[in-house]
Amino acid sequence: MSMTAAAPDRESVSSAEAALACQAPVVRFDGVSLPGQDEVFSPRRLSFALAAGSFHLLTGAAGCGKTSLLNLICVADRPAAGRVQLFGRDTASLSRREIRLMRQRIGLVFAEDRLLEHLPVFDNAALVPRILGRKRGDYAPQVAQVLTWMGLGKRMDALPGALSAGERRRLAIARAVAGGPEILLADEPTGGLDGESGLRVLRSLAELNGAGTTVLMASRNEELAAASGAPVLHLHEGRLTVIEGFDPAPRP
Amino acid sequence: MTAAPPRRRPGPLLAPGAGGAVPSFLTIAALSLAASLIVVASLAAGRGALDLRDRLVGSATVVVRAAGLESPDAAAARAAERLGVVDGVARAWPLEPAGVDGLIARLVDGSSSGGGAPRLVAVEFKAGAAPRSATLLRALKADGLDAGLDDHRPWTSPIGRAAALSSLAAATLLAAIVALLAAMAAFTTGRRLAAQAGLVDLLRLSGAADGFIGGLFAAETARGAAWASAAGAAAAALAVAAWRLAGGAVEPIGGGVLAFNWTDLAWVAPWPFIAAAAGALAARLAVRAALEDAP
Repeated sequence: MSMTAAAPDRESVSSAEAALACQAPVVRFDGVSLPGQDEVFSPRRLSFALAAGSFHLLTGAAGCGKTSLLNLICVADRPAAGRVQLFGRDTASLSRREIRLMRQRIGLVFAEDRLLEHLPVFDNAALVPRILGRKRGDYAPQVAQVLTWMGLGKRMDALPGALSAGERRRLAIARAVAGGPEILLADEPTGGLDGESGLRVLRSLAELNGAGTTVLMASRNEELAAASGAPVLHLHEGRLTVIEGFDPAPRP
Repeated sequence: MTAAPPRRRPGPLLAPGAGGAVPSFLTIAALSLAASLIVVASLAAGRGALDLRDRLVGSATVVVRAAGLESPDAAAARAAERLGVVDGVARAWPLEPAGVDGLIARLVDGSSSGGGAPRLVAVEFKAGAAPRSATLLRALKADGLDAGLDDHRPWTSPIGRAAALSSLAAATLLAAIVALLAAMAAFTTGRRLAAQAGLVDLLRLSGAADGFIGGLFAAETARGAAWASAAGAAAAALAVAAWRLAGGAVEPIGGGVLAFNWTDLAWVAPWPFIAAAAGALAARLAVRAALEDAP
């Protein structure tokens, strides 16, 4: 387990022990090397935990491994070394069926939307309930409620191609939360959005977190991270720093 | 206030047209056309063979040679009269020499010609009560007739074997067509999987079971295969109907061509269902194989 200190003039650093002391964490990394890292010689092992109901931001420059880390949590990838625990289970020991059931408890917002362009907004948002085999009569009101909450209540019959960038991101979030996940992993949900739209997305995620969903949001936008007031997991050159009260670096 | 959800049915998760399935479905249509024609032709051939067998079992030809001063025609008439009263014979009649010269030549080994040529007498048996050959010959001999019997019944075995072989060949061809159809469906599914890899990944990461994904592709492939096969089967049915209406043989063995019945057309109906089932199964297996090693 290694937690490295970030630049002392930028943030206060919480201890790895404190992070790992979370009671019943829903996600726990113990000495994890990201895929592609040298599993034997790399000293850069990630250790952290996400408590149930917490809200964290995952920051770092492009290519630093944010998406790889999210992929490890949703078991889309295997760590080069170390142990990833999800809902108290070591992901390496999960059967295919168990992985599937774990994924059903996770909502995913992809960096590139991955909307189904041939389906209208409502059907895109209803993807997860359909996958879970729920009856339309059961999930339709809930999906409509989520879309309304995300400001897409009047666009349910529109195709994604007719949506603005902000609406597309909000639809991607609506799709991720329509199934009622316990964890929401959002990869750059504010990417490509202006400040106003980004803040709106951030507020939506905060509201979701307020309802009890654990949220981990990856973003390169440090101002947004600071605005969130949430603890930040900062990835830099393969090292992870847990920062409470994140303050972005001063710009020249 | 929450907006009301739309009332329409959910759209298909798989993007329509992705993966270029049209050539595959055209091939499936062609395969179904061939399969339907094979089925109908096999039925007609089988029916022809059965009819021929029944005719052979129910008849015989007697070769009568005149002796002494009796003319060949008189000998033939006498033989027909005698045979007509044998138990199990429905009727017997002398055949016109002009029409059966070739047959006579074969039956008597080419040695008949001139005024002493043998005559043929056709014998038709009662159904299910055909007398034995020896009984017929005894009856003729008792009347002092020099006669030989060409019993048709031994011919039925080769005809039966040929019909069985024909049916077996048709069944083999149909099995091969079903296998080809399944292979085509699996190939199409593979292409569609590759074309929709992003969607498949999204579904899996959202917690979809491999069976759910397989079901999506199976349903789509089955639907496409069923429509394609229905088109092929319909084309075959039209071709058969056109042949029948244009005066295609009505008698099973008349003119040496196949005689189709209208009821034969009903046998092309199962093909869309067979194609759909084979396509769905192949698609499911293809998806399972493709996702087996996915994380």
